[in-house]
Amino acid sequence: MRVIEVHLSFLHDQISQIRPIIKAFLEPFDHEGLHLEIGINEALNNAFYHSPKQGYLQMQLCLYRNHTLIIRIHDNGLGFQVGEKLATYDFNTDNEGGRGLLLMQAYFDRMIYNHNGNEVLLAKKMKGMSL
Amino acid sequence: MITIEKQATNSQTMILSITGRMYAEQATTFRKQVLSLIEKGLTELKLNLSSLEYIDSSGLGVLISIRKHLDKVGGTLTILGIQGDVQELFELTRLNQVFHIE
Repeated sequence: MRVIEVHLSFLHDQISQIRPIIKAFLEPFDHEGLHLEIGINEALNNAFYHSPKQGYLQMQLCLYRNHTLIIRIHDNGLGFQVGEKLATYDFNTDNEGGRGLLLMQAYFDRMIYNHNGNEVLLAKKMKGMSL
Repeated sequence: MITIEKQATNSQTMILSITGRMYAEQATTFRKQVLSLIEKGLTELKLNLSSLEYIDSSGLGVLISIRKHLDKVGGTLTILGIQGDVQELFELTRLNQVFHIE
């Protein structure tokens, strides 16, 4: 049963207005919340960079009674080759990009992209909340 | 969402102290600002991140870009004061082995 559910649809250039919403949603989770905030913003950044400037993004944040957090982010772009990016990641490089997927995988239990690379599902079993 | 405090010894040497949260949008603006300083002669840059509350891969990428531009002009970039979650992020991405950190 869902305890908290947030659905957002926003235009490409409104992404900066979404960041405080994510921060506020995760605030009850203290230190763990910051890690998840980074992971979600990484997914949003990928959606932003790989979608058209006049495009839109959709995000769902769902917290379930068993403390499972599910995030879904979809954009109307053509996507990108997620598998290829993950396969070619090299820690020994000082490339300016390419670390976002690494952080998403590090901070979430599951990261699942669709075939096109324009929709991602992130899942995390939370340790707990401070109220 | 970030504020930048500048301490300049001269046009070639500077400490920038960053406070707040650096999301992708702020990282893009910060990059432009620093590259402009490099074009005007900055070569020795120290970035004080002790009050930085948030950074992600966009911000880390900008730091790498800044370091590369300074390398081209024979300059240096030093990262100061990373701690807590920011330090953890540097370690997770192994960028603690790429940057000169004090």
